[in-house]
Amino acid sequence: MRRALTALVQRHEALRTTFYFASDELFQVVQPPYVSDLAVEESACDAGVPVSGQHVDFFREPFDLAAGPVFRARVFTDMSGERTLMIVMHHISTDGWSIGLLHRDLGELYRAEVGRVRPDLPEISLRLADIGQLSKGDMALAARKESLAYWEQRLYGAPSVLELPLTRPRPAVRSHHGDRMELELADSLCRSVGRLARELDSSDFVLYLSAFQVALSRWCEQGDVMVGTVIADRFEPGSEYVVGPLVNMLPLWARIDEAVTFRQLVDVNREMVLESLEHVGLGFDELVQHLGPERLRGCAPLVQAVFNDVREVYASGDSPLGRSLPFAYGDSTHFDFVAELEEHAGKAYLALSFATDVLDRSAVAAFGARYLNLLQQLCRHPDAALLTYPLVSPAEQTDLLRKGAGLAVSATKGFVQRVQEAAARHPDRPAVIAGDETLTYRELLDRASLLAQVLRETGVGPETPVGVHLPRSAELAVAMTAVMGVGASYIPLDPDYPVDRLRFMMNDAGVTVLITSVPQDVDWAGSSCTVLPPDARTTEAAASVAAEPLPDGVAYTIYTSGTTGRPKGVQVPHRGLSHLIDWYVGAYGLTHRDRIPQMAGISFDASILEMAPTLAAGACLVVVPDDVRVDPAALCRFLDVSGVTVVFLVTPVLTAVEAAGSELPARIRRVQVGGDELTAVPAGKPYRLANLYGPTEVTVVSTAGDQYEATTITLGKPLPGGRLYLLDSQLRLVPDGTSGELYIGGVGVARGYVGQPGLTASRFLADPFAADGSRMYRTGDRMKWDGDRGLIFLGRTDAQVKIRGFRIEPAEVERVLLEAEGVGAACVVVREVPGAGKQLAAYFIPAAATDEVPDLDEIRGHLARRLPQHMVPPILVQVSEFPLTPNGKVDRSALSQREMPTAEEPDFTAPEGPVAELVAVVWGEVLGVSRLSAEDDFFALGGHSLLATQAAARVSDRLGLRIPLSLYFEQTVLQSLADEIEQRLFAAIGETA
Amino acid sequence: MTAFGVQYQVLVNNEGQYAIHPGWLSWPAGWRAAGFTGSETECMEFVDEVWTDMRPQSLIDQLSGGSR
Repeated sequence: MRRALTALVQRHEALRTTFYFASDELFQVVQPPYVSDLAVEESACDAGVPVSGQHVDFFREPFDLAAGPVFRARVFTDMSGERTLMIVMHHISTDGWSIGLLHRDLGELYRAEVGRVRPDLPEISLRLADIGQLSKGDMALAARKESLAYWEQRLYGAPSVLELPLTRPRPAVRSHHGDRMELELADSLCRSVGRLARELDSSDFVLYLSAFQVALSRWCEQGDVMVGTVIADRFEPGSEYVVGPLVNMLPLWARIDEAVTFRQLVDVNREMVLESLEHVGLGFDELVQHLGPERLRGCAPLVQAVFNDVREVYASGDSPLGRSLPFAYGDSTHFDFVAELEEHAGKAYLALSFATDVLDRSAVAAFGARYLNLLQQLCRHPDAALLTYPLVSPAEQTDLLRKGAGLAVSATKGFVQRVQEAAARHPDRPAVIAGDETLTYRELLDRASLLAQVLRETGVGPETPVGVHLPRSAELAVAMTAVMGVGASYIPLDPDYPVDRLRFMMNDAGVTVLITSVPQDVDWAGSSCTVLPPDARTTEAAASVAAEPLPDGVAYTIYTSGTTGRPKGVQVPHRGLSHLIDWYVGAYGLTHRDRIPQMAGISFDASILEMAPTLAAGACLVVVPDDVRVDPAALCRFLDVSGVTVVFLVTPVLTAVEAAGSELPARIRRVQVGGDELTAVPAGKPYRLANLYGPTEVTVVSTAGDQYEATTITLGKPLPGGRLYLLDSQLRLVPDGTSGELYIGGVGVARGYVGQPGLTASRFLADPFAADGSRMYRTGDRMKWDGDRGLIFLGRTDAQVKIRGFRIEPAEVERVLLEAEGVGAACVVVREVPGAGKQLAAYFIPAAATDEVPDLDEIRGHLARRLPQHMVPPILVQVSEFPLTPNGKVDRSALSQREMPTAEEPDFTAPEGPVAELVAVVWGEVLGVSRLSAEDDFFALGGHSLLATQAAARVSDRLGLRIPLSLYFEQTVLQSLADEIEQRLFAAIGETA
Repeated sequence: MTAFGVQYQVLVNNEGQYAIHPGWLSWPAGWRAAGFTGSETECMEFVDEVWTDMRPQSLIDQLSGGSR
């Protein structure tokens, strides 16, 4: 064998070529033939174990490329006496094709040595160095030009990065650490791929590649995917016998439109691959240099994912050397993700290697399973549109549905029945404390019974909408209990709302009975409306307050902001309310000893969350005075004095309490927040904090989860009886860790929007997973699963915003603004105001017909008369035009980032020196910011790599000096960047002087 | 959801509740076609016409039967 190896080294120059650098150029030296060294090592390895630590150590021994050798071999003898020859080469000297060649040549040389005959090998007529020379000839130059033109056109507009769902952000410098796994391709799968390939007149590689592109496109949530593939560049006659790195990377860019069929995609890919192969002679590095693609920090240029067919490498057939063994060990990778088709011992495998900087083994394994599943299905039905195939494997689907399913629930009691039971247990305990007034459970029920009796006599029964126009008070609890007690729909009408808004809600819900403490002031209710005071009573003896309501009967109707400009009345049935109560009381352990504050405005369903579970548990509701609600310190004092033990706060209120340095009283054991995004868990608090999430359309709360310091904040898990699905636009479950729109099914789903059946049918969809005819609500919220920890909120799919917990559709505010005199066009966005948080900002263009300048105060008055206070934009700006997006829509984000006319800039330091001034001007141009401070950070101001490229080009142009783009990533602060550029400028001047 | 220019369809369940469903997808169990396809807006207009009582059928039955 040693002689055979020596002959092998003699035959192939690549095995004795060494390398050195001189003045930044790489030189190759072909060393004379040498006698190969071959050690034999005893291996402690059991028979049949392919890879041991000794193998890995031998593999990992570093190469000295300048001194050589670049090729080494060793024999390992395992416990059973079986011998394995292991050959390790530096990748600078070889390629996949060469491995097959070496295997064949070494086998023949070995056979010849053993049999003492002449080896039967083709003569090598071409030297590796000659092939390099050929490609630099005049002929090749023209071809190269043509290839550059081809690639330039072929890759025009290609994405600069494949948006792999990275587990971790990219480090600035890649470690090149990799990991690898192999998935077996079932024989039946390979056969069906082969069969379809023949039918489609394509290589099976193109089929494997096409399915890979689809799987990758879905994984990356990207319609454009760039996949590189390594191709043997052995078109030169004679080059097929030469060992050496004769390979090239083809960047294959595919647009994956899920409306096409697999057959169509394969057709397109087959043509693309054939076309690309004509240009394989152009080196990939040269191509990258020529195209100058956007370079992202820590990311390989142009191609980050690779799909290779290396099956012939291992398929060596019969050899005097025996069976070839796979060495499935990879700990270094140049790309983020590499998939390779392999074949050994007659079995096909998909090997997946990945950069551990950015990807996790479990995510890659899940991708692999999805790919194989998809490939199988695509081969079975190549003529169905891609969008009809699920995104996840059956096993993943089971797991996702399990994760999204809340605990099973059974039928439960209604709200009023539970209040009655609480009253029967503790009739004299306080139910509501509001200011000086305390209402015991006996009093609450007595008064509710009297009011219910009047309601019945007025003709109120199940499903009758009853408006309740009361301040947050003890009377409100009485009215809510009475209305729900007769099975009617409780419709809270906040007395602080503008009359227009109240009138709209009354008409929209068809309210004919109104309970109010100010009957003389409700002329807006209309003459046909029956107006009752909360203490209305009849001479009839009051019956018990209620029979058990029907689970499908409406319990309450809450209005939310609507996109069409019309508020939507969400009708929530008793089933949802009962399960909400069960969950809350159980999850937070409410008993009659607890005290819960009532803070939320009555038109928000958070008020239902505060009131219903509290009264159902026989606990005490404490009404928080208006002025206390807005003052964190006063609020904390009030909660302390009033003995509160459990509290729900709108998220920004907790933030305000923390910011003010106030402390919630130590008696509070459970705090829930919701309504807005929780960004930090306060440290070292005695209470347990839960994050709640839920749209009004699914009964206040749909997910909940306790939050802990120093862990990712989630929205938690589904409530009992709930079902959560993260779906794409085709209603397909998205894989774990991928973003999708949240749909919610289960017991909490509301009946719909009052009087808006069409809108209801478009938001409450047929639940494809329940298979029982039930519906699911489409939330418009983008989320992803964080493993088994729960959901993570990512943003809205539409323009809806949340400001201090209030859900607002900007379109609704825009419509009211358009009704104002002198307003021609309107756009409402959210601005992040330093120190003030998120605020609504309204921009308008004056109507063309009016000559007069619109009066801002009048417009403000118009808005205030029609919109609840939280929807009136504090920022109102007249503009002459709106910025537009490339497709002609109003660019809302540009508008929201537009500088305010009166905005002042704190901490302004003027950039120092002419270079800094120039950089400031250029940054201003590319970022659209007018005044830049020396301390401003490019990326903090909304800059991204594309803008950095622009800025670098402009600065270079104006200075007449090339400034490398990398500097813009290293120095992101204006003055530091300018100083660095200045130094280079001086150095350049010094050189030319 | 106007992707691919594919139409939407209107489904209805046993409770007489309507839902708009992508036209290229099959019906989930428990649902049947209401006999209308079109754009999402057209489907909404159709539902506005036909879904005149938004109470679930079982509730309507319970309320009219008085079986409480």
